[in-house]
Amino acid sequence: MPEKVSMHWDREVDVLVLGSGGAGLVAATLAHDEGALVLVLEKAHLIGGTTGISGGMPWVPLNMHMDRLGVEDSRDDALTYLRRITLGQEPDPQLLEVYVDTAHSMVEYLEANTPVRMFSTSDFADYYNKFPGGKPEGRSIESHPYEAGQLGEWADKVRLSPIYPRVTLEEGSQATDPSKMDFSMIAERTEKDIRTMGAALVAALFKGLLDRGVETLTETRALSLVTSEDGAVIGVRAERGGRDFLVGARKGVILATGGYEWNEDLVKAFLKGGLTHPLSPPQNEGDGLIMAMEAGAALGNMGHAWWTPALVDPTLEFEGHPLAHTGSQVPRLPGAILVNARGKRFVNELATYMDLPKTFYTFDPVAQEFPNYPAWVVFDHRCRSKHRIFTVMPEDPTPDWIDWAPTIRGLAEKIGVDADGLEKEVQCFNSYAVDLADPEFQRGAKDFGPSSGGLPDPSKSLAPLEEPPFYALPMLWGALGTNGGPRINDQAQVLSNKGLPIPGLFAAGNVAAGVFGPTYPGGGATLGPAMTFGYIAGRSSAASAPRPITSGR
Amino acid sequence: MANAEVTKQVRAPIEAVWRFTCDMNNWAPLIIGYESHEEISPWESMWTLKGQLGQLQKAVTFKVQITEWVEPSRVAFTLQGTNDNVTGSGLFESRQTDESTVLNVQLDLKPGGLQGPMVNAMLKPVVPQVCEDFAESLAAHIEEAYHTES
Repeated sequence: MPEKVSMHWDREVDVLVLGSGGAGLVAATLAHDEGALVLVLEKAHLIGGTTGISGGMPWVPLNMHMDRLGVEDSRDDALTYLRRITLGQEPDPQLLEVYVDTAHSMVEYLEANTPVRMFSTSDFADYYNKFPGGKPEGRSIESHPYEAGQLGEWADKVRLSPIYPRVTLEEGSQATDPSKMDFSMIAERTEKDIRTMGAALVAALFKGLLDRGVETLTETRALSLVTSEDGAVIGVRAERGGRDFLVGARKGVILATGGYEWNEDLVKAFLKGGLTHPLSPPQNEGDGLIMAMEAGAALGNMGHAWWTPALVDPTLEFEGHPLAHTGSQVPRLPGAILVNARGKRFVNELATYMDLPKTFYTFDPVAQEFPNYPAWVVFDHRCRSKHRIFTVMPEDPTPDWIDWAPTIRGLAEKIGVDADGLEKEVQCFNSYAVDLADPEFQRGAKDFGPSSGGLPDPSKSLAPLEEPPFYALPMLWGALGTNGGPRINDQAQVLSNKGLPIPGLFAAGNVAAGVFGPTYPGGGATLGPAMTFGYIAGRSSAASAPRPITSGR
Repeated sequence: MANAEVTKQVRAPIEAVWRFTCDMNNWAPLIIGYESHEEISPWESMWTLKGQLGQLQKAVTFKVQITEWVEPSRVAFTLQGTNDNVTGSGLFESRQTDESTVLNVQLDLKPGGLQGPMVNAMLKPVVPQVCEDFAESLAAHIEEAYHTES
């Protein structure tokens, strides 16, 4: 433990927010509006964190926009649904109630007090909407498109998705049928720098901060917390321009630094499976988690992440790394299946992006291996010619990073999958397609995922792989981010290992223990809690009594 | 279509301009985002370039086919993306003036398919800048080579 010394701060504020994703921006907004002097530090050169590249969709029960879709919701419905799917594994059952009671107020507040404007996305179902309390649509909301020119010189410093086209989720950003996309409208939005999804949300939230005069310093990485003699967090030691940069915070420090998915050591230490292809910005290296651990925080939900199967287009790079993005849409396509190295299917391909990779860490105690990883999505030419396959449109040339062969056997040999196994599996799956029934995994008979509000329909999901050539892409172990971290209470205060709040330390977003535990109730399960507990952290930190910050360690 | 045309005054005779431009190995690395190129035949080559599209970096491999070779004043070519739905064409044209050479560089890129309009909107601001920077650098290198020779 360092000696206590007199502090010579470069800046002194009431509330210091670390990170400028959805959680951090909302926290800074609320802390300011509750009267605090606020500063935001962002490690990256871009504002927006993981939210900036996301769908920008918070999952918000009881939200004010559900009326538009004619969907009724209630506290009981929301809690019944959450309790069913969290299976009692959530870090703190009380936080489910806090979430349901607060998330809709957070949205109402932002729409009344910032440029954020949202709407309920039609036909975007809770992912397990057939369970009691689930809804066929309405709880997943998203931003209206936002003209980034309003940010002035900051526009180019606000992150946007490297891959999502400039359409809303409702307009079809997830569409695999290219005819459902209006590329002329996307072109017009590109020229006018009109942003959608997470990029729109971040731009609108950040404009709110600019309007308030809240300062954000980019390329300023928080390294460690500064504490008072009695253990309260009173500031941060950061690095800015290659030099120490000390910020004192009289009322609190809010950790909103994102997950630890880019920190290989932490991934290896905490996640039971691998995580080789995070989809998030590479600055998510667990800085906040490390600071919280150093402060003696209790941890929760550490074995989990916001999983997604990932695909890589090696011709694309984002912030210095090959771009990985969610590949969950591809194995769902009619005429596509997901197989392991034995050539065997191992999961209902329509499983949510959160659930599907959980099958990667199934262990075979006889073979002493994880048989379901690596995995490949295999599809035929009819599928290829009708659907967008990740970044490749039907009319595009087949790029050299998609393996193909005239026969299933040839394809199997090319990608290193058991050829007998794959031939047999395709034959078997094709018979299921004829029968419109998948007795092994119930593909099409159970509905999961974003657009599953209607009835399950095997005829839209099961199609044989019979038209050559046949194609394959490796399906990789990805995540939108991790969701384990310091445990928080109903005031978003970080709890110590003794269960007591660590004075002056708050957390929200992927840095904190996920309130839903290992599950993902619907589109926006990541962002909804991030913004909601950011909202709570902003308010509660600003309401804290100021502490003396003249000396610390 | 994303296109650009840049004209530069080069303080060197047209023969010196030709000596430099007729060998693609001389100027290939001057293209912003140049990664590699490979000559397949005197008329065909494969090029890989990496460019910034918004906050994304995209590598594109083109097959380049020379369609005109008129010494010492004109080289025209076409481009075809191997992994991507994009075609294009380009031109180097030189004209001798009293004491220097006027070098004209043209590049047209046409993204195809349904995504064409979207990719085009992303390329439109990029291509003129790439062309301008390349022509500027090309002119400077030709002059340097000429002055070294003489």
